[in-house]
Amino acid sequence: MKIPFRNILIVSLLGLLIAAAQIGAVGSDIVYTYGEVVVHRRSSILPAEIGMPVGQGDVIETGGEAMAVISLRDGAEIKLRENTTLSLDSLGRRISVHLSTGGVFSRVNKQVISGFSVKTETAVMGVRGTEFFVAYGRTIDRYPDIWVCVNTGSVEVAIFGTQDTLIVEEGKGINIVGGTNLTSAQRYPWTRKLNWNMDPVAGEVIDRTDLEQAYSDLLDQDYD
Amino acid sequence: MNTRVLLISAVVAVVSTFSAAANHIPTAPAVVAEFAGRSTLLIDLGRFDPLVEVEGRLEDTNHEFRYRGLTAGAYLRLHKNFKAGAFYRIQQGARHDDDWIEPTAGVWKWVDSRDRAEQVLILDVSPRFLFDFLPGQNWVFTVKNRYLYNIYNSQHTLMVRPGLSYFLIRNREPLFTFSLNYGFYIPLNFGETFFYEHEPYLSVLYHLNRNVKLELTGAYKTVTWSTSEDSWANWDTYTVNYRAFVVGFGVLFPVTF
Repeated sequence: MKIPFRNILIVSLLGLLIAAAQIGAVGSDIVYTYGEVVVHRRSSILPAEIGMPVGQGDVIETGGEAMAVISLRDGAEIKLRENTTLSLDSLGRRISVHLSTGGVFSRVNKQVISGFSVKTETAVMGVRGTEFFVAYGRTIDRYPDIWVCVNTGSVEVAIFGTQDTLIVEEGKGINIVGGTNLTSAQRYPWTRKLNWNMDPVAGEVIDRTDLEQAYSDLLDQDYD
Repeated sequence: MNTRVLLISAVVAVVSTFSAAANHIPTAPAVVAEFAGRSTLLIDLGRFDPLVEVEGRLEDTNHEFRYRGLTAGAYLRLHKNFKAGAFYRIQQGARHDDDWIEPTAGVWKWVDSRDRAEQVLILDVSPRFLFDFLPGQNWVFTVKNRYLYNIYNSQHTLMVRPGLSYFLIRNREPLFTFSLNYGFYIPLNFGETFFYEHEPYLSVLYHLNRNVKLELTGAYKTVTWSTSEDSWANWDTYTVNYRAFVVGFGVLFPVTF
């Protein structure tokens, strides 16, 4: 029986689409790990390995003293700090990830990615072409604080509950107090210690910044 | 009769002796208002925090700009609850017990020390504790301990100043700091009293931003003048309390690197 070439082409394309849909997007993989890192995929938990493809729906989790770098479609990179849980919600031309715990550094190439957002429990950080950091801080009120720092470009922060928005410019950061109250963007000295590097060849990639520094140490408030 | 004359003569002699002695004793005015000002640059290098401070005071009843000082040094945070510091100070206009002099017979006055430069070495150890069990939680208890060695007159002084501070926080940053302290100055090798000076004082610090803080203080100080060298030479001894209400202003510039 002769199968028409057109049918073969259609079946092949469908196969490719299904495969692409399964891994979410072509070229998204784990490029570096340190310490205990796992990928939650459907009902299974897989140990993360360098070169392991990741896709839409996957949840990457790092343990204490651990970290991971993920390349998303060659147009964005995400570095997870220790004790971080990140869901890859959407990996199409527009990328959306959800941060449940910990903190992430993001680097986005606007030539490739048309939209990139990091969602948290109470806010969303949307960017086009930038390098920024999002992390949970202390939980003092009902929701935890969220720290956002921008290294290059700018980030639009939107609060779900109040619909308040704010543009955070390059070199500045904000604390979303209690996850809902936007403070004014400013240059926080502690953010200068953040390690933005995601390339192990270029040097240390682990960010060891203690986020407790972001808060005023009352025992260090001494002026005479 | 002879006894009566002798008694009267003795009383007159004693009274005249006391009157003469009274002239040798510095008189303290009623409580006076004084003003103090300081400006401090504090550099935060992590555990190591250098600082430079200039200060001045308008003192006495005539509000003379007498005391002025420049202090430089650094704190080292040895532990979360413990800082140690070492400082050098050069000052003018400081008044010491021996500055009560008799330059000419029968004329007593305070030395004008405004042109006299004195160098002081200071060591500081200050434990601090978070008193978060108090209502409002943002309380810090500090005991500032300072040893001062004045090279000019070789005087050793120990300052102990317990204090309690409350930080009013807005958006996770201090907005105001209210402090109540009590400073005690213990002379280690001079004076005739246990405390040379003591003062309760209240301060309010407004955190304008991370790099500018404005300070307003009010202190009620008591300084005890003990017998000066010239008075000893006249066989007089005394302790006199000088009291002043001191209003202070400060502008502080903390810089973090």
